[in-house]
Amino acid sequence: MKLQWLKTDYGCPPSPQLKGSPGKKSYIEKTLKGITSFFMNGLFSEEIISRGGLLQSIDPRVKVLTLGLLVVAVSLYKHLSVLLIVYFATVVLAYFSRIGLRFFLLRVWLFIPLFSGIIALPALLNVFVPGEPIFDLVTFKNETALGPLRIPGTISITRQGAQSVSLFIMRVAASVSIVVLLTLTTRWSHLLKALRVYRVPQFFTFILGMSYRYIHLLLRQIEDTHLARKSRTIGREKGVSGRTWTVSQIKFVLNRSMSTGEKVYLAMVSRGFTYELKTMDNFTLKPVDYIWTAGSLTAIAITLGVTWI
Amino acid sequence: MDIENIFEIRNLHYSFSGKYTALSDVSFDIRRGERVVILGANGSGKSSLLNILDGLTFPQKGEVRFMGHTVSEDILKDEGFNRFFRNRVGFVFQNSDIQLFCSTVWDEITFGPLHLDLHPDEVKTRVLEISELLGIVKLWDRAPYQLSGGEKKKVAIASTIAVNPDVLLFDEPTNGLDPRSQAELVDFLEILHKRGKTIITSTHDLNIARMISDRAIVLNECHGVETEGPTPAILEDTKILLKVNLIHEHIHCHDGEMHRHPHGHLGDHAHEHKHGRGHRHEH
Repeated sequence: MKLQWLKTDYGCPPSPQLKGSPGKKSYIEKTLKGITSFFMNGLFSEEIISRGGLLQSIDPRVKVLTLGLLVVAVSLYKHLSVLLIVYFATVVLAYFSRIGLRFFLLRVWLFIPLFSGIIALPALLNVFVPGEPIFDLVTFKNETALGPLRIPGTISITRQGAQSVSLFIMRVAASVSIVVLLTLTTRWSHLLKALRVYRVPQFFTFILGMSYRYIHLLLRQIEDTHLARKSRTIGREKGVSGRTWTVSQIKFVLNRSMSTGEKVYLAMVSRGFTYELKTMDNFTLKPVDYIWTAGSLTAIAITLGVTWI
Repeated sequence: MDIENIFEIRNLHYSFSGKYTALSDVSFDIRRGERVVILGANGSGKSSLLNILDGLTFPQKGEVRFMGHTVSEDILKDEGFNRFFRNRVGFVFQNSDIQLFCSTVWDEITFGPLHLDLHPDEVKTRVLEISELLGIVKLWDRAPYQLSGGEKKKVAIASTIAVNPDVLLFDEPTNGLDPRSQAELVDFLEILHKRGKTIITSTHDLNIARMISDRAIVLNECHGVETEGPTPAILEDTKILLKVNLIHEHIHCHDGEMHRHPHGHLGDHAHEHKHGRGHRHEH
């Protein structure tokens, strides 16, 4: 008889000895979970959208217009106090839109030090922005020159530098908060439709929509593949083999996305697609949209007036 | 040309990259209003055949005629013929994730009718009525990735039916569906049949084949047509089904009933089967 090895022996399980931190996941698992969670909940959250707060009740077209104008206005404000008021207003809006304040603040302030903080920090120093020193950091014997850059004898944080950095960071914080409010309270599909209303090229919005749609599909496939591999991995895995697998997966996902793309194109052709996209929008304006538009446009006009007059 | 024939397929040959044969010398006709099932084991070429019938891929040899017109890549470039063909032939893909490429269910169902230049009011009426029939109105604002397998299949069917094609191609429609969703699908196909639609389904699910077709075309593992005939007669022909690897010696069908023989060995010996009326088996 063949398959002699195919016999059953349940045996006795060895006593498990826990090593390392309990509940610690591999870096592949953590990265995959992080990416999936960002796309599923962080960027556009169905759960927050369905909570029915203030911003969720506003028509997407109105939201894109008013919040878009507010972002433009934020880039024009010259006073820190106005920017602080706008930022505070976004926190209030988040509260009335039933977005958890901790989640909202983290979402905004995690990005700011990462992207804008690194760019802005050097401007604090008198090396780049000369001005009235408020805090000395390092003192050298002499002044030196580094190419075109003059390094003063004492490197300090200046009042002018601190003002321009706080203005820059508050501008970024207010803008990011507005965009986060828009994306967290608007369905992705509605946002794309609203962009189409404002003449953003249809092909652009369609490709954005499809990308977001298929990122979900590919992420799910990657997660399934990872779990399938995990179920057949016996013993502890070495970091090298994990990294090798990750690289092979990148190639695999790329091939799969190309093949999916071809099939999707055939599915589109099958339903009459001939390189010209046609869509139908079914938005209707409600009284709350008119009130919101009037209120936000007035607020933008007043704050701009305070800044420029 | 027989005007009763919707499709006339003659000596089709199709291979992937010119190396791997998917279809070899396939010929058959499909008549108006027929319910036809294309039976074949995995890899026998069923999906490739449906892609060709829908004018998505084209055979290296042979001819596909649709209502008397040869369907080729060049002819489908003609806008008038393309519109005529796409209006009349709808395809429900095996993998709903491939077919559902829009951001919402609403966009998905409106995609086909809008691209065939229907008036927006007519599009709205169709979307509402087909969605009510399939019970998916509540899904309109949802994204396809948020749907279950059964819901995705319903949306894929709705998005195809909204175009109101005369011929419907279904590729393995019951794959991954629970029994309730399968039964709903069978009922829906019956409604379509009563409305005069020609329904061509590829499957290896013999239980479903009996319910959704009157005629069966059987593809063999050499990618050709093994036989064709009335579905009940084909499903009774154990020899043919064994030959094309659609049934196993221990699991097969007699007089419309599936039989499972209790054996617990792995291919060490073969059995002789002599079946007569009254479900008598000899081993």
